[in-house]
Amino acid sequence: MHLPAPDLSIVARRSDIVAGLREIVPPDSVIADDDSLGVYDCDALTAVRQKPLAAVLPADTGEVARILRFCRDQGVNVVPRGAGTSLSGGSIPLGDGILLVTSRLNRILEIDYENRCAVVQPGVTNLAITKAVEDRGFYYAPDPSSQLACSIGGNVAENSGGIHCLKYGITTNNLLGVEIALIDGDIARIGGKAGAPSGYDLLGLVTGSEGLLGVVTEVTVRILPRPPVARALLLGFPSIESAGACVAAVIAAGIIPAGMELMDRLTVEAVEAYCRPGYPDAEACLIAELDGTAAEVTALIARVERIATDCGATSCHASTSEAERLAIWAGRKAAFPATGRIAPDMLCMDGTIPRRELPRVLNRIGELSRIYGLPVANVFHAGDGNLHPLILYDVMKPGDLERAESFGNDILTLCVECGGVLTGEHGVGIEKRDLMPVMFAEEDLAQQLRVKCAFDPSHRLNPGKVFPHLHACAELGRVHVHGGAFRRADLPRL
Amino acid sequence: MSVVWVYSAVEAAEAVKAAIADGEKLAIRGRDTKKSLGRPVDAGRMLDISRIAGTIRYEPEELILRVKAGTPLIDIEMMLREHRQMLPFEPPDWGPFFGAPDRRGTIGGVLAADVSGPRRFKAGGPRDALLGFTAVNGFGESYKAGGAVVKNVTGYDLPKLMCGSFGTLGPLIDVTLKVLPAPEREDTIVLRGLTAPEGLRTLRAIAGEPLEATGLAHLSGELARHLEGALGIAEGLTAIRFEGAREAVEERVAAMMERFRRAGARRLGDNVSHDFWRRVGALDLVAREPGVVWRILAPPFAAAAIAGEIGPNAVQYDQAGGQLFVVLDDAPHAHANLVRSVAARHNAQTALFRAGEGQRAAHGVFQPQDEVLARLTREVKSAFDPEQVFNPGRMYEGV
Repeated sequence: MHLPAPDLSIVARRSDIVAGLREIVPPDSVIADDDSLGVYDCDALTAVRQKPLAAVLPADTGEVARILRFCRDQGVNVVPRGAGTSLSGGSIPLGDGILLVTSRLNRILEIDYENRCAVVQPGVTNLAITKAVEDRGFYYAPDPSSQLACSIGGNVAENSGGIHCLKYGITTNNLLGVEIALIDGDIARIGGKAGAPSGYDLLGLVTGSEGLLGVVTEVTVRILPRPPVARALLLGFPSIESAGACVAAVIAAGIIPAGMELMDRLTVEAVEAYCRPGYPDAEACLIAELDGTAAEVTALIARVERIATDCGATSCHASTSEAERLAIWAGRKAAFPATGRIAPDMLCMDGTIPRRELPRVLNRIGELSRIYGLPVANVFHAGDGNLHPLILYDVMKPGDLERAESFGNDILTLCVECGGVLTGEHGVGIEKRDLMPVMFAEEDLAQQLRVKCAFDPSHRLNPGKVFPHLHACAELGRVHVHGGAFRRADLPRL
Repeated sequence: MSVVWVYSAVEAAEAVKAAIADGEKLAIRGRDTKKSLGRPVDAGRMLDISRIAGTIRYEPEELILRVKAGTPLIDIEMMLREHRQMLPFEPPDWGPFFGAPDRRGTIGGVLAADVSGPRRFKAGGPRDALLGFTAVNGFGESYKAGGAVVKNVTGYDLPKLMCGSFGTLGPLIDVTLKVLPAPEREDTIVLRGLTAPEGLRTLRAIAGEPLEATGLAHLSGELARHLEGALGIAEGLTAIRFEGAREAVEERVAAMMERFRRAGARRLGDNVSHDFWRRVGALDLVAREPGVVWRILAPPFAAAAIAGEIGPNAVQYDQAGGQLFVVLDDAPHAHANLVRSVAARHNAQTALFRAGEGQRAAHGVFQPQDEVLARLTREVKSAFDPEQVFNPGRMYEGV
């Protein structure tokens, strides 16, 4: 993982650039002193740190747009940042770029129950949306584990997922519209309360574009009525294989649980030591949550229990109260901090695999763990095949970080080889940038880059993220056709 | 118009290069069942992808289906039904509505034309089910995007862009779709004689409660009269569908019957319910009314007001009011100014769904774009098809 080398000619113009920015926004909205910038030198991928040229905190859409136009005109790179919770380094600053921080755009603009949506500014946290509508029985469905801190603008940029996405979808499935500021200062309003408009699905394109196409300045999200009943089943299995077989059997039976989470022994032990959620002493622990009406949930719980028993579950417990349900989840939600306690540092991977490959992938991860000499704890969004191996290392030990990184790369390459993908919900960022060619051929990446060029031809927005190489747009846009060289006489034509 | 049949991505790519070399434009077709949706295309050559057909891989336990784009939808549905699964977005057969035979459309056409059914407000549309694809771009290159697992955020979400792009970004070659278990049971409650504002208020209330309704429609009397038997009376018909596990459907339907007992609620039962929603999705009742048809995507609360201000001959509301199909007298102007100005007042989106070729050419079909969106649309088009080879003009002039 490395950031592109800064353009020193830009760094040399820093004081002019800061002065220029202070003409666009109030002076105290531009942070340029070295100490204060320390706050912004990384996101949740803490292995890489870099202070930005300056941090700018705009207060409205107009300021965002003017900052972007200024940066384009001045040839200055821009890294957008919401709450800085990216696990893939999506908002790591660049030494020759400004950090555009959306934390002051933090108002809920409108809650519209008749149209079942909320219109919010990008700096509003994910959980704040649910908090604002829960007294009327509504919630915002995507629930990344960082939902207390992460911003909805960042969720749009990263297309964030969460525990309940098998049933309720990820960010892109829960948006009705966005407003984005483009690098030339234009403002695009895409969709709204009526949903995405006909025409190209730019709403879908922008979602998950990791800050490379524009800066989100307003979001219209769908809100859903909260199911009246949710119950969690806590299941212990003698092996990861039998737990995986249970997940497959549940889905084959036509049941889509609201969430299905799998943890291996190391994770369960770490969690037990951390907060004692009462998980079973087993090789694998599966949590399945069922929601709906009371009768429906009771029936589904019985069905899943039966399936689990058939798959060899050694223990089986269904929550009987909301407090008990939350206690079951508390352990899973503490998996990252709990694992963090048994090692000084950790790297969280995020590949998705076809579920049937789970035993093979976990066995191979175990082998790699021995080869690299680094322990790994596995948590798994089992329903959708999204794997989160946590590689434990110690940055103070020479070579540990490098070993952890190559271990991680091996895991993600393995995911792709098994028919999966590099990232299920954390994004590419800088973390998986150099692995993109493992998943995509040159022409696949070229087509994505051409889309990038359609929005940001000078590559000012978040360069060094997602794409291993940024080609000049003019070269990518050329059609190479030579005379009649491509004519095919053998093609049937009428 | 000359026709080029292609059997693979390689042949499609060669056909594109040949067209560019010859200075020809390509109209793309699967089985041509929706050709009158969109603006008329000005192209001298037809690229037929219907021979690129067949299942590549179906993994029921992974909820994944990969098929070639020319595969008929009906074949896919049959295969899924054997495993009690379905496409979440419930694509209806729009063939007959557009004057083509039924049961012929391809999955590529369904995705390109963004065809979705009554469950969309709950389960999403094609965009929410297309996980990955292979396509050919206007550089004559075959490329892939997305992935073959249900959860993936690697790279730009180009699958979203392909849905509803009407072939203007190039032909799809193969597609990977998310599938879901089919519901064990469905049933529908119907209410008679409500006005549109009353019916829609009921539907919005249901949508705002945790009842998991999967169909919320209101038909004006002009449409309801085409229904058979006791339902076929010329008065408003409000319909509420539930799907899912047996216990859940029973519980919800019973609660609804109790709640609307005084309003004369009736339950349709599994089979009648299935047929009713198939006809709503396929626009079967709308098709029987003469005149031009507009589709309006609206904030649900605005639906009744929009119809009131337009004053159409007949209306089908579904998605709890989020979608309206309105029928108006045939006229050369297609009522374009009226419909678009009313929709604009309510932040709604319009498409001229059924009209003559001349009307579609003169007034355009899809939502008019502001300057910024029009520019982004042109830039995105160029990113895939700089020579404007594919389906020129189908969506917008110059796109």
